Amino acid sequence: MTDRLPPHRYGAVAQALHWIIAALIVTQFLLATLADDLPTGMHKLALLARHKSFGMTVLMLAVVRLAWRLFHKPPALPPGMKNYEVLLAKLTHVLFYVLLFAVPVTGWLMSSAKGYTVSWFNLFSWPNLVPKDEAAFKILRSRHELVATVLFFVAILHILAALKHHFVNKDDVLKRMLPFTKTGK
Amino acid sequence: MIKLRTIGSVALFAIAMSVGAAPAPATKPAAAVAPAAGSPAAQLADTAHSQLEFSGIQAGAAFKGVFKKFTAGVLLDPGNLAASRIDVQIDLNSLDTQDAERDKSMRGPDFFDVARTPGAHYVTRAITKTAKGYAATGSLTLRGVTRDVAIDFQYTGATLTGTSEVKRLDFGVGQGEWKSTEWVGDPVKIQFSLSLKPAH
Repeated sequence: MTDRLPPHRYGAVAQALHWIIAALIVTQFLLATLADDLPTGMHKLALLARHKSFGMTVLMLAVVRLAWRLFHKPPALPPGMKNYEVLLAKLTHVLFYVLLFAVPVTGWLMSSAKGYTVSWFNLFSWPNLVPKDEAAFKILRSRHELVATVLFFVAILHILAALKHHFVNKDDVLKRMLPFTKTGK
Repeated sequence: MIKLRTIGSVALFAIAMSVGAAPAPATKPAAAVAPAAGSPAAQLADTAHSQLEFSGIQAGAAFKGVFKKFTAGVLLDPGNLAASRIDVQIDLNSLDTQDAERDKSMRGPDFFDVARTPGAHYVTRAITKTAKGYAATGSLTLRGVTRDVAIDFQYTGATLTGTSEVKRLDFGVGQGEWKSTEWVGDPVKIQFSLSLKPAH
């Protein structure tokens, strides 16, 4: 990518981070749902190991993304948005950044409390954040599920908003995050 | 537990008998403090103050477990290693990896199969002096399979501590899908710390 940031579009790095993280989050929900239904066994162990590795990847990318966001201004919101729409859009985005940290960190905490050290694709282990504690594990598991559920609904809202901008408002809000497209002006 | 103790005592008795039957050494040390060569005193691990720990790799991360019930008989004379021996009986059912689900799986037919083979047995065959302490070779019988296993240890007279490493698949610990080492590693490290007391 060039140093110039097109005023009406997200840059290549911001787009890449957005879509990679989005794909990982979808994968995470699928892995968690599949693993939940499985009996104890190697299949479950494998799915949860991947879930943890992908989750730690999200956490690492969230750090990169937050840093990128702090130093790169995003394109401005389209004109004509109502005050509450602007507020809702900003709130959703702030919530996303919080959740991108909260979901993996509660998962990491939960695994630590269970006494299962988190590995990253069998390559290295992350330190345990808390000592093993079954009661803490149960609380952290419910917290992990709670923040993941919030993430799910925020993502639904985000997708619906993007579609509304594209199909109802007919503005560039969706397109400027899509690679291989051109935005007006 | 009682049964295990009995087995341990019998094993120790058997060692004592075999050691007693061994030919007496030609010379006996004069010093009173040195244990009499050729007749090392039988010692038993004080299990309340002893630990038998294992650690493996699961999903890329290390995990630890202990066997809470085991008996260890020790006949060790640094001056007569040929007559020395260590004999350990392990109650596999007493394993504890701090996770009930994992413990249950490990007791099950795919791993230790405790319903069929509730115990493991290790007995040394030869003990040699090393730079750091001692090395022993012996046989480990686990899940009906007997294989040679080497241990390294230090012996102070009152304690015996050491390490070993085994490959779980050598003993069939991990059947079916668990034969894969992708999610559960093959090598298992063993650490032991025995507090010894006289056998009688």
